[in-house]
Amino acid sequence: MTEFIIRRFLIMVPVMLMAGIICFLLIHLIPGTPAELMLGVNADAASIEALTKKMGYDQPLYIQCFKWLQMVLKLDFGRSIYSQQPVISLIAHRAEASILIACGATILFSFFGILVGIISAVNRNSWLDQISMTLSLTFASMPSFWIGLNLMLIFAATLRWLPSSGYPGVIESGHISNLQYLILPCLTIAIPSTGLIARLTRSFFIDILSMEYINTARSKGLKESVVLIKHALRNALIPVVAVIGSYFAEIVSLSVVIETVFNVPGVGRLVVESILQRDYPTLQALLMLIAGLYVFINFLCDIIYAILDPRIQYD
Amino acid sequence: MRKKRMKAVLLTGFFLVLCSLVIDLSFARSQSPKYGGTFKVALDAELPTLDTMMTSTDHPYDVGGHVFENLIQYITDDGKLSPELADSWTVSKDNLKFTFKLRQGVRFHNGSEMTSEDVLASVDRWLQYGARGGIARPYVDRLSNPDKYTFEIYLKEPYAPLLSLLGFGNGGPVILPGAIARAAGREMVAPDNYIGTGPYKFGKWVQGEYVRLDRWDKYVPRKEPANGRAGKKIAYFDTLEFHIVTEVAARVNGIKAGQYHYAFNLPTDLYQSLVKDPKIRVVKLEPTYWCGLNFNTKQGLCANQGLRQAILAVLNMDEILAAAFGDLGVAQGSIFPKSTPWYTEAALNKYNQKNPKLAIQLAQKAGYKGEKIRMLVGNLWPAYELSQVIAKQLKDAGFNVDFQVYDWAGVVANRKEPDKWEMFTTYASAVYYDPGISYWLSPTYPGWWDTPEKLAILKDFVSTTDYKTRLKNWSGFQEIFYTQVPIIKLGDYYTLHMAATETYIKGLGTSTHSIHTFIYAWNMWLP
Repeated sequence: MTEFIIRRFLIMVPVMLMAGIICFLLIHLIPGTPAELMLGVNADAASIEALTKKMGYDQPLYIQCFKWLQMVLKLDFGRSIYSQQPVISLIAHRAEASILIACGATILFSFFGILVGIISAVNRNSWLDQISMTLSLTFASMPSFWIGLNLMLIFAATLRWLPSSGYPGVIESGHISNLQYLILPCLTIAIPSTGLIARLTRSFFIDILSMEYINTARSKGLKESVVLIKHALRNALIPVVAVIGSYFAEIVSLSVVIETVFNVPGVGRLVVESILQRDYPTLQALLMLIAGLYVFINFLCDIIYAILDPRIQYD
Repeated sequence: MRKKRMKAVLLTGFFLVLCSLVIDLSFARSQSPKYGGTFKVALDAELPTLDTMMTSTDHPYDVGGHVFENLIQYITDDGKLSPELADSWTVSKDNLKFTFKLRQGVRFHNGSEMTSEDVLASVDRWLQYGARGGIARPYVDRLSNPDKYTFEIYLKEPYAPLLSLLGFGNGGPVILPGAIARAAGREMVAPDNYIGTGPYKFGKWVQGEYVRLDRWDKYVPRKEPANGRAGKKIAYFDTLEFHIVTEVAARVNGIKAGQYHYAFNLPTDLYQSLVKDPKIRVVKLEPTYWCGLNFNTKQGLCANQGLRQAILAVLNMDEILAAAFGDLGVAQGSIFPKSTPWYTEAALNKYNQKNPKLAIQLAQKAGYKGEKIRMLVGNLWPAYELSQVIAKQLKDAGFNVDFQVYDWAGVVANRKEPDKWEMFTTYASAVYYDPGISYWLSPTYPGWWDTPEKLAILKDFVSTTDYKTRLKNWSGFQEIFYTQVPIIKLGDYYTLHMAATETYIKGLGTSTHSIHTFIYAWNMWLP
C-alpha cells in the first residue's frame, strides 16, 4: 500500500510539470504585454521596450519558460508585475474571501438542499412535495449572476440591509462583522445549488425507501423516525455527499463570476484581473494552483478507492 | 377655562417656534463645511501605477491628483491656465524663455521644502521619460534654476502647447522631490516614494482592491478662491478611498446602497433609467471624448487613400452612435467639439455622408476588388458596439470585413504590427486645451499617418502663439484630416458618472464641463 501511494505520488510530478509548461505557453500565446498596458497610449516605443526588457519579456520564450520552471522548483513564483508583491502572499491574501464563500455556500446548500429533499421524499406527491420541487427546479434553472444582481438590488440598493459589494477582510481588519459582505455572494451560489441538491436527495431517498431492508426495519416495529434517520438517511447520503464534493470544485469556476459581480477580492477575480492586465507571474501561479488542486483531488480519490475497494491492484 | 386654553395655545406656539429654530440650526450646521469622515470612490478599472508622470491613462490621476501637484493647473472653471505650485510665470517676447516663480513654504509629504531643485529634476525626468514628455522634448533647449524659488525653461523654437502640457496631470510633469525623481529615472516610482505636495498623502494600496489616501495636515492652500482644480483646496475628509469596482451593477448599486459617494464611467445607455432615480445624482459631462475608426496608412489595403475615402462615404454616424451611446452620442464632425476653442466647420460636408453608392464608385476607382479588410475589435464598450455597426454598414455596402475580436490588451498588441490589420475603433480626449498634444497626431501612433502636408501644417500650428492664426491653421489641418482620412471621426459622446445625493455629500459642485472628468475630493464634505 505504501509503495502504491509513493508511486502514485511520483506520477504527479511529470503531470504538474506538463501542466506548468502548457499553462506557460498558453499565457504567452495571448497577444499583448504588460508594459504597453501600464504605460498608456502615449508612451513611446523606447519606454515600452525598456520596461519589457526590464521585466525580461524580450527574451525567447523557451528561456523565459526555463527560468520560470527553475524558480518554481524552488517554490518561488515571483512577484506580481503590478503590485510588486510576492505572488504567493497575494494569492494567500485573496484566498480568504474565496474559501469563506465556498465553505459558506456549501454549508448553506448542503443543509437546506438535504432538508428539503428529505421532506419531499417522505411526503412524496403531497402538495408540500409539489411546491418544494417546483421551487427547486425554478432555483436550479436561474443563472447565478442574475440571482446575484437581484439580491443586490433588493437587499443592498433598496432595503439597505447589507452592503452591496466588496469585502474588507476579517483577518486583516479584525472585524468579524465584515462577514456580512459575504452573505449575498454565498446566497447567490447557494440558491441554485440548493435546488439541485434537493432534487437529488429526494430521488435517492425515494429509491432507498422502496428497498426491502427498509420494509424489514419497519416490520421489526421500529419507530418511523429511526427508520428514516438511522437506516434510510445514511445510505441515501452517500451519493449526495459525492455530488456535493464535486460541486465544491464547480464553485471555484463559479467564483470567477460571483466575485466579479460582487466585487469581492478573491482568487476568482484575481484570475480575471491578471488575464486582462497580462500579469504573467500571478496568472501562471494561479493556473498552477488550480491544476495542482485537481491533481491532488484525483490523487486522494485514487487512494480512497484503493482503500475502499481491495480489488484495485497495487502494482 | 379660557385662560387655560390661552396658555395651551401660547405654549404650543412657543414649542413650535423652538422646534423650527432647532431645525433651522441643524440645517445651517449641515450647510457649513466640517472636517472628518471618509470619501469613497468606485473606480471602474485597476490602476497600473500612481506614478502619474509615467502613464497617460486616466485613473492614476484620479487618485494621484490628490497627492501630486503641477506648476500650473489647466483644469479650471474659467478655462484659463492657473498657477498651482508656481506663484506666477512670465513668457519672454520671443516665446523662447519661460520663467516660473515658485510658491514658498510648500512642504512635500516627507517634510522637506519644495524648491526649484525639485522642480528641475521632475521636469527633466518628465522630458526624458514621461508619458507626454516626448512631445515637448524636441523643442526644449535647456532647464535652469537660477535661485531657490525660480525655475526657467529655454526653448529652441516657439512651442505653443508647452504651458498646457505643464498643466497635465496624467502623463504630465507633476513635481516630486528631486532625489526621488532622479533616482527613479525611467523606472516607475515605487509606492513608498509616492511623495508629493498635494492636500492628501499616500496611505496604502492593496492591489485590485483599493487605494487609501490620508489628509496631509501641513498642506497650505492657495489664497485665490477655488477655480476648478486650481485655487484654494481645503481637504475636509480625513481619508479618501478609491475602490476598484469593475462591474457596472456593483458601482450603481454601491451608490444606491450608500457604500460609495462617487462612481466612474457608466455605460451611457443606462442614462434614461438612472436619471429618474431620486436616490442618486447622475453626473453627465459634456462631450469628453470622441470616437474614431483608425486606419493603417502604412501598409495593406487601407494604405490606399481612395479606399479610406470610400469607407468614409458609407458610414451613417447616427446609427453607429445610437448603438453605443443611446441618446448621449453627438453626431458632429469637427475634431474638437463646440465647447472647446478649437471647433471648426472646415470640410464637414464629408462627415456623415451615408452614401453607399458613392462609396462603391470610390472603392472601384481605388482598385478595391473585395479583398478582406481586417478590423481589430476590442471586446469592451464602446469599441465593440461601434465596430459591430460599422462592420454591418460596410458589409451591406459591399465591403468584405474580417471582424477580429480581442480583449483590449490584444488590440494594443496587434495594432502596433503594421502587417496585422487595416482598421480599429478607439476613442480620444476631446478636451485638450491644445490640439497639438493629441497623441494620435504622433507619426509613431498605430496608423503611422505621416504625410508632408500634415507635418507642415502642424509645424505652423505649434510654433504660432496667436489664437486666430492657430485656429486658421487648425481648420486647414481638419481639411487635410478629411481628405487623407487617417481616422474617421464617428462623433462625440457624453461621459456618465454617478454620485450620492446632496443628503450624503456636500459641495460636489454642479459644473458639467467635460474637463471635470477627473475627480477632486477637496472643498467637499460629509453632512
